[in-house]
Amino acid sequence: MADKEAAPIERSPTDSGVDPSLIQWFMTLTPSERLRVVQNYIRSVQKIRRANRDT
Amino acid sequence: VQTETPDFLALLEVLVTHDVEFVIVGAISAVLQGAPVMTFDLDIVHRRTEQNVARLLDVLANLDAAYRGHPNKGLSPGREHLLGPGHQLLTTRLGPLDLLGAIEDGLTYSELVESAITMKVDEFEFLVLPLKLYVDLKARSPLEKDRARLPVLRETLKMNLNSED
Repeated sequence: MADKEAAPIERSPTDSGVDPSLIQWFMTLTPSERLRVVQNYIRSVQKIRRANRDT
Repeated sequence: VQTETPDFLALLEVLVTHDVEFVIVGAISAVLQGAPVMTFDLDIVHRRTEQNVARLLDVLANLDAAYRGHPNKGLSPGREHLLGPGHQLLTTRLGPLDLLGAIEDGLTYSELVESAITMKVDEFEFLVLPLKLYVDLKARSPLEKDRARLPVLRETLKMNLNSED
C-alpha cells in the first residue's frame, strides 16, 4: 500500500476553470522572476513557430 | 528594429534611468503582482508634461522606436502625440511598447499615480496599477480578450488578499 504522505495531491480547478496551484507557484516568484517567465514563454513560442516555419 | 524576444526589464530600466514618469498598466502590471497571464507588450501611462514627454522622446530615439505595423517603417511619435490622450503602439529594439495617454474611464497619469503601488524589481522601483483596479477596469471591458483573463485575475486577487491577512 502506498505511503499516504507520499501520495500525489489531487486538486480540482476552481468553478471558473482556474488552476490555483499555478497562481500559488507564480506568487512564490519575485516580480523580476515573473517577468522572466513571461519572456521565456515568448521565446519558447517563437522557437517553436520558427522551427515549424523552417520545416 | 525589434529584437526577437521582448526584454521587459531592460525596457523598464531604460525608462527609469532616463527619469521618465509613468505607471505600468496592462497585463504586465498583473504579472508583476502574481497573475500567470501572458502578454507580448509593455503598456505604460506616461505623465503628459512637456518635460516628461521630452525625456520620453529621448528614450524612444534611443530605442529606435517606431509605430507598429505602420506602412511608413521608422515613423515614430512626436511631442504632440505624446502630449495627447491617444495610444501610441510602438516597436522598440527591446520589444513592443504601448504608450497610453489615458486608459479606461479616461484615467491619466495624474489620477493613476494616486492609487498606484510601488514595486521593487531588481534594483529599480516602479509605479504599478493595483491588481484590484486592473480587475475592476477589465470587468467592464467589452473586449473578449479582456474578459477571458478575468477568472485568473480574480483568483490571483483573492490569493493576494488572503496572503495579506
